[in-house]
Amino acid sequence: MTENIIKVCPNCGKRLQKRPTYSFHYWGTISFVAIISLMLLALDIIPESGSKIDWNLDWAHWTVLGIWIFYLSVQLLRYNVDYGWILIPFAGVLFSIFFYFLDISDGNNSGFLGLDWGWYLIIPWITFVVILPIFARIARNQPEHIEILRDFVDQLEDEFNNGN
Amino acid sequence: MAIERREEENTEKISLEKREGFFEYVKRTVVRELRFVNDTFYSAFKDLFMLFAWMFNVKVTDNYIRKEAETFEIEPKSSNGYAIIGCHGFLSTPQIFEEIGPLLAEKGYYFRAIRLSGHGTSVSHLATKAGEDWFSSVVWHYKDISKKYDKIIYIGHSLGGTLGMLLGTIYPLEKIIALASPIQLPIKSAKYARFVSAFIKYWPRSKAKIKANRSKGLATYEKSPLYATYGVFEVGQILIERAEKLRNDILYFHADLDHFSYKDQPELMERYFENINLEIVYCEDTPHSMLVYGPKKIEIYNRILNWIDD
Repeated sequence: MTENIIKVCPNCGKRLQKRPTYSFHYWGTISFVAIISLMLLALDIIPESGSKIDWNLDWAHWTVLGIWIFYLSVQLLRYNVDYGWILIPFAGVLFSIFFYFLDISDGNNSGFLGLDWGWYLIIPWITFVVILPIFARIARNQPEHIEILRDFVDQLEDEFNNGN
Repeated sequence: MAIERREEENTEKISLEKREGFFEYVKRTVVRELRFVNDTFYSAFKDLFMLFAWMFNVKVTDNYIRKEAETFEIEPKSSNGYAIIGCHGFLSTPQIFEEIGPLLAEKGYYFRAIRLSGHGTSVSHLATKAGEDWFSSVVWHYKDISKKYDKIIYIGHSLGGTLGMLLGTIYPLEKIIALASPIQLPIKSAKYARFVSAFIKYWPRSKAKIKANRSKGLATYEKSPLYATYGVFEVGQILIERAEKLRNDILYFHADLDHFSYKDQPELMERYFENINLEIVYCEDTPHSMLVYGPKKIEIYNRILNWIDD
């Protein structure tokens, strides 16, 4: 794994770079997104005319769902940047499902599997965001950790036996 | 008189408008008000903008070594020509040797408690490490000590013991003491740990364990990075592959209260290392961290000291 690190002195371990000064509680960003979601839901249920609240959601649930999928994907990625090859396809699958339901819930739905415009978005999306990153990662010739350790041990043994 | 005169010349009694002129006064007031508005908005929305940025901020790995977790060495007053390497286990630190280290030095041994790569820093740092990193830490210290001492004894707890036995398959060691070291843990799902770590990065440790470690002031980690966990299994696997090359005397301590997956380890030791002088000690009422906790701690210390002297 590549390391995104704070630089320290290799000999004494002292910090050469200042620690980032800003940090937030884990619930900070969740609450941030939750408040924005509530705001969107509130905007949707408030009637354009009249004094009664219209509890039927027109559009806000799709927006809120999209925001939360995006948020989840970003949070997974920021903790595990090296796993982008699986996390971005994972987010891609979630968005594909999202697009599917978005299409099926609206429009004339006379196309394949009841979709209207969805396939023109979902098929390129799945190809470029889901399949290709995983394919490229699998195609990459990268040794496993156990192979690296095995080679390392063999190399040390050869060095020792040859008197180096 | 002088005081009265000074009081007459006091500019504070003259209004700003008269002192500076009207336009300068207006400019000054407007700038002050704008600065006030700016500071207020900054105070109100700065954290909000930072929170928004924080949402996309990539987690930074901190590899700053905590002071209490640093490698330490103890020089004996009169050396007997032997050096001892002490190596801690997974998630632990060299602190576990703080009690036994001085006892060994008293007997004339040079003692060094080494820190494995990724330990004593941050758990996110450990999450980037694997078997080859830990083994290179052990090899580096072995090579460093072997410049001064020909005879080296190895004491390793848990993963540290497994690494020591692997070291013994390459380099000459006088004796090896392995405390609750895993050779082959029967957890089949472990091989998926690295893949799962993409979604669940850390696995929490028990609250009792965390509390106990905190009370002892140990700089151990309070959650286990799944990515690194499988490295323990890999070290064991390589050791089994090279088991025939191990020629050292081994003293193995088995903890009675250890995790269920450790129950078979003494049998596995006997099976894989049948050609060497292996002594297994079964410690009753002893937890995994046997150098720090448990009623038999002193007995274990004495057993180690006696066995090394023999």
